[in-house]
Amino acid sequence: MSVGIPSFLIVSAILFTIGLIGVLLRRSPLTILLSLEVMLNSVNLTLVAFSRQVGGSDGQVFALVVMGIAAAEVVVGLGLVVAMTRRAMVLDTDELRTLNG
Amino acid sequence: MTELVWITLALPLVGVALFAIFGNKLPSRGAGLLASLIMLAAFFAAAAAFILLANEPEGHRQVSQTAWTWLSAGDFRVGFDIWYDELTALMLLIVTGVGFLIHVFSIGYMKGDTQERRFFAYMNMFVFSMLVLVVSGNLVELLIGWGLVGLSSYLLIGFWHHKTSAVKAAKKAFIMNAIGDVGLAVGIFLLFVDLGTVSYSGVFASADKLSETQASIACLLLLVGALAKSAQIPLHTWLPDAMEGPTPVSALIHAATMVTAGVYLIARMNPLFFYAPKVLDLIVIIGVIGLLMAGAIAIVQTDIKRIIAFSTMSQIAYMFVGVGLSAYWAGIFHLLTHAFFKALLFMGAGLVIHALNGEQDTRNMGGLRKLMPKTYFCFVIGGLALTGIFPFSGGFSKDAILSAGLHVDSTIGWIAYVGGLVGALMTGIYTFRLIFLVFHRRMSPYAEKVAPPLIKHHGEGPRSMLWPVYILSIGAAFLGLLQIPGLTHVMSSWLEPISPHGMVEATAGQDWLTTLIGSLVGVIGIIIAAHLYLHESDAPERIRLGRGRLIAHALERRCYWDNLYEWMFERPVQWAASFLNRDVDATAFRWLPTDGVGTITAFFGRSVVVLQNGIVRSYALVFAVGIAGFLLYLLVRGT
Repeated sequence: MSVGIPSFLIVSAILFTIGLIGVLLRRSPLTILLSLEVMLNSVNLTLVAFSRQVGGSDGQVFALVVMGIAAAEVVVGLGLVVAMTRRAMVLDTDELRTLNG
Repeated sequence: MTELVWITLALPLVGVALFAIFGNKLPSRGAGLLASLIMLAAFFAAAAAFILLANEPEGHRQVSQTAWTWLSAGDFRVGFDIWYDELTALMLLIVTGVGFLIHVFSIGYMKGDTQERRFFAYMNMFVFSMLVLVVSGNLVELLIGWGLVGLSSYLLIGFWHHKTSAVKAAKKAFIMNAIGDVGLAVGIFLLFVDLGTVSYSGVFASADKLSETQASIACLLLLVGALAKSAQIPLHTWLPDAMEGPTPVSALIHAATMVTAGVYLIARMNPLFFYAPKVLDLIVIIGVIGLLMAGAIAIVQTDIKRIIAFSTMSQIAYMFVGVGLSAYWAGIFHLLTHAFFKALLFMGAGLVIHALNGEQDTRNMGGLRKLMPKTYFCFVIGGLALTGIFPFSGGFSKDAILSAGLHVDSTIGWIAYVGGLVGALMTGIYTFRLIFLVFHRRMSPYAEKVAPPLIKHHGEGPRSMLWPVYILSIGAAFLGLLQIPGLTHVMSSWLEPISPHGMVEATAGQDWLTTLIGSLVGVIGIIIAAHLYLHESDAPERIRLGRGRLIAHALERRCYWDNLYEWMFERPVQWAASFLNRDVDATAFRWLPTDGVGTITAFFGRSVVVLQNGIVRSYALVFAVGIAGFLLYLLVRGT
């Protein structure tokens, strides 16, 4: 009846990799934020899966905390995107490189 | 009962919070009133708790309660505790009672200062800190209170921060106290290592498991804390300078409460000190040296507040002698009477300073007896109590300490006894020298110019300043009656349970003998002072420049302690700094081209700057590859 833990881990690993590739390859800040969400949620999936296996609720609590922090992070990220749009800046992370050495 | 203790503790904190939150919205005049009312409420709560405790049967007068636990690990637990017993109850009464009177006095004294609210906020904060110190049920909490009173003291000494001298004095006090705090903290660590507990009950219960060496080292470290806080040799140099603060601060912190914390600590930890008899002897010896030295220095000082400051140091040294002789009740008894008569003297000095428009030099005073009869009367009561003339309070408490020395009948006991009596002679001389210089003799030109118009206009001071002085005078005069040898024994029987190993208490005969000799010596001191200072004469100056010039020079330079510390710590650092600057830096690096060191640094900087390309994706890639590599390594390595 139940799906084994390896399946969850495989799905989670696939999601994580998709997210990572998204972060590394895409140049639009919005897409990068989306990819980050995917990565975070893949980790959440692992947490919940292990939590089910162990039987405690710690992992689920962790997952909730991760969601909370992810929400906060998105607020900051989107705020930056909005600010950049207002100043009519290019939404391309490779162009935003004033912090180079 | 515990609720009342919590209320006492919380009230000053509420005061601080009110000042912090409302600040400028509070009327300036109302600040003192608010702070005083809070103190009055705290005093009533403390008094009610005291009465409840006194109604308990003897042997059951100890309660403790934990508000919350800060940290726990295994069996180890530290929480915010209260430990309410006879000693705590008495200390709470002293802190809130004398504290209340000094707050009221401050209303008049600080009137017209632009920063009254800040002053009263600090004062309430000090009272809260002191209460934490005395009600705490474990050593960690005690250390917190210990640090907080140091902070409040720092803030109040430097209250007039536009004065450079005040800021310097505040820093000095803070640094000296920090040395003591470190000693105390290390002592607590050591007790934790040895016993695995820092609560009073735990330490007291297992103190007998310590070897004498262990107990002695721990007690020595606690003593370092006590010496710094109570301004005893060799960590005493901050107290005279601390007189830069407003006078009510000197009365509250540097006479009545904070500086006696060291005595409280030793009395509180007496079950531990019992196992370190050599440290107790050391306390007596430090006390005797301190009381003689401070008493002698007080004779040559000219600043009215510094005279009283050295007197405070000398009197606390008496308390150290008392607790060192295991006559804990006598030490605490002297703490109680001293809180009254010394606060009284400081506030009397405050009235004089107020009437002379801020002047503190006794050479600019004189002849104020007729202008300020009420102040004079109260000051003389305080002086007699300080000198220990029968039947004023200081006499009973000081003689209780000395007769304990007689009762012990060992070398240490006799050192304490004789030293204490010589100290009593000095006390008589410096106290009445002060009174004669300020209130008798011919009026100095400065006083003649300033005082009469001010006093004609304001009287001796506003009622808020006079009434606290009256009340303290009553205490200074009559508190000794709590413990009349052979007749009453309120203090010794009340405090008896705090020491499980018993306390030294002299017989009535020894007490009366000491009282007789003590009063006699005090009177001799007064006569010497009268001979030298009651009328203008060149005798003191002749002694100063003649046969006594070496001693006079040493005393005027406060026995060279400040110079010693300057040569031990300040000068070497300055020398080292100038050596590094002038010789090492200028010669050792001369072979490098100009900015040689800078060029090398810049070269390394430029060689890594290429990594910082500003493209976020490349950072993320490096990051991901790094983590992947690390995980791969773990995978390959196995386990």
